[in-house]
Amino acid sequence: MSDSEDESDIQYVPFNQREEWKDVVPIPQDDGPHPVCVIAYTDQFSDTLNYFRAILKKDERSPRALEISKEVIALNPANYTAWYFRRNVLEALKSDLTEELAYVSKVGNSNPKNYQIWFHRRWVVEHLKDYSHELSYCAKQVEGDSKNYHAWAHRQWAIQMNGQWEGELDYISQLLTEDVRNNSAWNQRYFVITKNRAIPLTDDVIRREIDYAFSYMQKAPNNQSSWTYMKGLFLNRPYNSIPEFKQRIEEAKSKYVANAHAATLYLDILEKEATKESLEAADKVLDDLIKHLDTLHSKYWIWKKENVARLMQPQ
Amino acid sequence: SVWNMEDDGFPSHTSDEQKRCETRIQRERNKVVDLNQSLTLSREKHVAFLKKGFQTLSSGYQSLDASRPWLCYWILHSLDLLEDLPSNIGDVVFFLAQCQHPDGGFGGGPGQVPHLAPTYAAVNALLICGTEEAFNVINREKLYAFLLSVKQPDGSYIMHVNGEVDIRGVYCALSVATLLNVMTPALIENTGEWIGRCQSYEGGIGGEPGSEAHGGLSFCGLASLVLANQTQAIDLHRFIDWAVHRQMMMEGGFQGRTNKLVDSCYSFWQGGVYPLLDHLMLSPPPSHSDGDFLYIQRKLQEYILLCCQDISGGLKDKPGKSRDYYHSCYALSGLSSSQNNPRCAATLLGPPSNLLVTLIIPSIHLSQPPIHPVHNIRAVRATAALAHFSKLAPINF
Repeated sequence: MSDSEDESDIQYVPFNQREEWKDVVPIPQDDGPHPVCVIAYTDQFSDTLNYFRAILKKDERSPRALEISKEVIALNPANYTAWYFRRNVLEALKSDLTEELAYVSKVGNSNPKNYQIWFHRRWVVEHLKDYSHELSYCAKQVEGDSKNYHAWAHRQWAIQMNGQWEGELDYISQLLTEDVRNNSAWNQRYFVITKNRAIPLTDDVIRREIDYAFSYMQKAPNNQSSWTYMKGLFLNRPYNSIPEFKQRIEEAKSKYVANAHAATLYLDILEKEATKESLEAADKVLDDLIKHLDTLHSKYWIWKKENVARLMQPQ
Repeated sequence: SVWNMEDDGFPSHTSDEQKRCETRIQRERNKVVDLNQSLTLSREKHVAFLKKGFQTLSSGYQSLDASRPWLCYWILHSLDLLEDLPSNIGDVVFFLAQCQHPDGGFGGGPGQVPHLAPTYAAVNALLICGTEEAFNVINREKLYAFLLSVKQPDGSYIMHVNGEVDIRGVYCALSVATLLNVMTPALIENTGEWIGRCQSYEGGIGGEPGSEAHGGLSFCGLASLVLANQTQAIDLHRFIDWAVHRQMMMEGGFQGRTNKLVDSCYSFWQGGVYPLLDHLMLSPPPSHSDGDFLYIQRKLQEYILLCCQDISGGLKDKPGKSRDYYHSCYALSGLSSSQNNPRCAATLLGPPSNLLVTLIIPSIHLSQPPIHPVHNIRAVRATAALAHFSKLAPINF
């Protein structure tokens, strides 16, 4: 259950044996008269937290306060109070944040999904005004877990803060070549083309993106990610803004006969067209989905059929 | 149609993982000798596991030392759904009083700074306890001040002072504000728009604008919009389209994101949006054989019952994982949610004893908001709290 990675190479010494802590009276945890969910803390854990509580109460912002926050974090990296306190101490001491970046990188490598560590990293990087390590750090985490949610959110943050758009589309292509089903990478591509103001979403760009999605789709037609991406390209523009798209999807639907994704994208095109003919065609696609292509989601498709029927009624 | 992962002869890490998972699940299914027995919810075993955790936890739980109100809530809510609360439930009031911060809100343990997540958990746990003492422990004025201190001008919330922005924070803040009758316009200023920006091109909602659509965060987003009465801030049809496709073909349970694995906790995070959508009049036609919601409720239940019950009690993510209190809470919450329909009889897989208490009050379904599926505590707990706190003066600032 616990992550027992020890960040410090220093052997633990009980605090009452440490000369530099002689003046501190430890404060035991007060769970109240009727404790519940009582954790069987190790002696080291209790001892460290008792002394931390004393420092916290005094709001002491000293080198030893910095040191003890590190020990608390090593025992429980999710102790957000310790991280918050540590930031206050770093500010008061005007500490070298380059060292802090090295520290938070080390702890982050052992705890790649910890919220506090990622936020602390953002804080350090912002104060250092040095974003130069962020993309490689995120890439390293993604190498270990290609869909690490925190890593991708951090990457987006760093790019937006620093305008480091260049090379991002190539990086994404590399990841999709490794795993075409990496939905986080697809999401990142969408982020880049919509947020990078240097890429206005012209018809040409949309066509390029459609071709891109098609090329990956053809390798693995049952991969939902590529189809959803294509649909996403038309979030803020009508399907007929790219006139050949409907036919391309219709052809794909004929080619990949058992593929629910092709059918559902085609369905969306027909629904948005909203003519008598297109809605009748949509109704037929829905029947296909219900009966053969996507029977698991049939309750949903039946509901959609009702919606389409309502649209077909005269105004 | 075929119910297993189709890798088109072009395997990748994602498809390999999915196939491994399906194989493991199939193994569980093949083990079944007596289906009725296997589909039985092992109430006594789960209760024993939960009640033990309410008393003591091993040193392995040090990693949750900043989440003890969560442990209280996960355990008490699970026991409440199983209708077997601990006899010493009143003790939780004393403990959570120690977790309440003088500046308002609750921390993850005594002496910890206030944080929206343990605040949400502590309030829910106190409301499950439901006594006058439990209600009176909460310092509403200070709690409101804490909520204001973490509210951001762009509509989002940070989890604690000098902490991270995350849509979970919005849900935690609005949930407690509603239950405790401290909701004001200031708490939801620009919040609808911010959540709208978190809706990704896939239709689901992510943790921040630009982030990938995710089950837990989507629940938080939609529930927040229901509480703020701003559901028009997202495109609900795109949301439903994404949500529905998160039910896994072979496993029956839900995945959290496209192309990721099934996990029993999404039984609530994903499954739990359907009662909310139902409240927004987005439901299948009546008299469908599998309940009032837009997903296959029976298949979800089959996954939870057959694959996620630990032999020693407690529930787990998927076969091969360890049981824990978080998954016990959300698997059971999802089970309850999938069983209890607002308008028709229960959708029940397995023996009658499997039926958990409802999170919904059917008779008031259409005239009142689904306050209980929003907060994920039992209907009776939420209504008792709302009755109590609505009599208290709203906060004036």
